[in-house]
Amino acid sequence: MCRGPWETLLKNNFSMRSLRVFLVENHEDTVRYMQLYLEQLSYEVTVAADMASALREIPESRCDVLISDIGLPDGDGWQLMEKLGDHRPQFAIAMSGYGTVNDQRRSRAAGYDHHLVKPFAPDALVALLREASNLKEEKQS
Amino acid sequence: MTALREEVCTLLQEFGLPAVRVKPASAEVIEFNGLFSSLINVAAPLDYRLWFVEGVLPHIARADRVRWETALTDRTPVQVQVAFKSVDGRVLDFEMRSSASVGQKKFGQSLLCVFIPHTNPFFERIYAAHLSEGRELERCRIRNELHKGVSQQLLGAAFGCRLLAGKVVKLSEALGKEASDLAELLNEAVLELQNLVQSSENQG
Repeated sequence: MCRGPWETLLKNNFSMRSLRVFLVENHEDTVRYMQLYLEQLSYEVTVAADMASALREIPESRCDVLISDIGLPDGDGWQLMEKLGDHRPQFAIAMSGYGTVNDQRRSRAAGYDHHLVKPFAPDALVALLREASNLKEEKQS
Repeated sequence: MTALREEVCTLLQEFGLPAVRVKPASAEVIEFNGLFSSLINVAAPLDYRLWFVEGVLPHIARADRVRWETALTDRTPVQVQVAFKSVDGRVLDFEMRSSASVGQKKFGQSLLCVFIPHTNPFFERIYAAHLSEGRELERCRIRNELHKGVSQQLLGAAFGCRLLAGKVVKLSEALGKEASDLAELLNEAVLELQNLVQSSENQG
């Protein structure tokens, strides 16, 4: 079936709208603006400020994407992924101020699909969320 | 030379700094190492007492001299500054550290004096090492500040600016364009800082 630009736009909007994002970040301003910006782009966003809250809320949130800071007040993003076990979302993005090869390798080993080094451009995150959308769509089809 | 004396002499040689051992009561030199004898102009090689009393003690500052004599009597550690002429006539500044040895035997009842040169590559190396360590600490501090503070705030601001641009464009296209340009500028600053952080990590 041939799709026109309008149909593609609708389809993209539909997949973006249906993407549920769980954001774990303890920096108040960052989490606030990230949430508002992603919501402006039609993502459904749930936030948690620490590992304990995230562990409690992620299983019920049925999120598609986890975006987590590595440095959390009560643990780290790597431990979070380990403790989530079967409740891990299908796509995960780590955020960290540290971006050495070791840090990136560790994030991969923990189960994150990507490791973003802070500060990063909003476009970089949006590009990864599009990747997650496409992945979800592929699985659904 | 007795076995004990040879052993003690070996110990002085191992210091790597000029050192003499003197009698507490008379300040007579019991022994010295090669560095000490090569350092000062020795007129009468066998007169150990003369070397120390005439070659070293007169160059101790008066206040330090009193402290040294007290230390000599009480056999307590002391740190004084001395200056004497080298074999080639140069005036050399030293920090002399004296401490009493413990024990009842002849070599136990003595004061050990070690001379630490003030102007020597040894100290320059220590200074350079401290300086280098200080620079590394400062680099770490800046790196941590970047990670925990500035980069985090800039990240929040970048998202906030994008959010604002998205809202403003609905009110006015021109204002939206300006907000969008501002967001782009902030974006560039973010990328610049990211490069800075990464290059500092590579250096560390």
